[in-house]
Amino acid sequence: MPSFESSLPDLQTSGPILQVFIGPSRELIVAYGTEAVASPIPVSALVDTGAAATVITAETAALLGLRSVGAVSIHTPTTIDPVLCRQFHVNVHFSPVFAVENIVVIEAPLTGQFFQCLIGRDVLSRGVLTYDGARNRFSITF
Amino acid sequence: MPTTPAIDLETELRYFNEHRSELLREASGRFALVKGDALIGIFSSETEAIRHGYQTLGNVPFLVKQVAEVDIPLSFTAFNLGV
Repeated sequence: MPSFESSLPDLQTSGPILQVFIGPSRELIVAYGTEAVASPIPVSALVDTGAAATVITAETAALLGLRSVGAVSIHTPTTIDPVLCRQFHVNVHFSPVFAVENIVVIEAPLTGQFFQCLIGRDVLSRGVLTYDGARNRFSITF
Repeated sequence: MPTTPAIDLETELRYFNEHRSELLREASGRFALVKGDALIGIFSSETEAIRHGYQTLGNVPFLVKQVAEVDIPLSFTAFNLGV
């Protein structure tokens, strides 16, 4: 089973952050071929068990040339009414040889943050997340 | 309902909502693929609907949405999202 472990100097302060690559979905690649779609791009991602779904920014979607495949309303602690967000179909690459494929992610601004992606429970539903706060490390195993 | 700045599926969402009752009668729980003000098809899975969209419409905006009586918003408990 592929496992991805990260150690950070202060996990409590930084949160569980790792680098992943966001790329066009397997379905888009199959439809058009790897030459016709953008290569995956690196993003810093926060593993967020409070996120119902994975989130990318509009900038990431634009860089990949993605077009929306849906729209969904979301609630956050700062919203009173649900907010409608676009959805995109992507692969989340954890390494050159392993990706969680065909994920429908949400577009939202991650304003003022030093990460460009939230890894949500849609991705986590496919694996095991281990958070070892005492040792400042975490891992995701698929 | 407030939206992020660049929602580009207003026509498709309007079509879906206007036809929700008849879709519910025929395809509750399945996934509708809508482009413009036309229903392209009904599919058993979200991935199947998206695949059909890419194959027949191209890499253009389209709406894939589960046919349900109500839309339940997804929840995000962190303050990270700037919406």
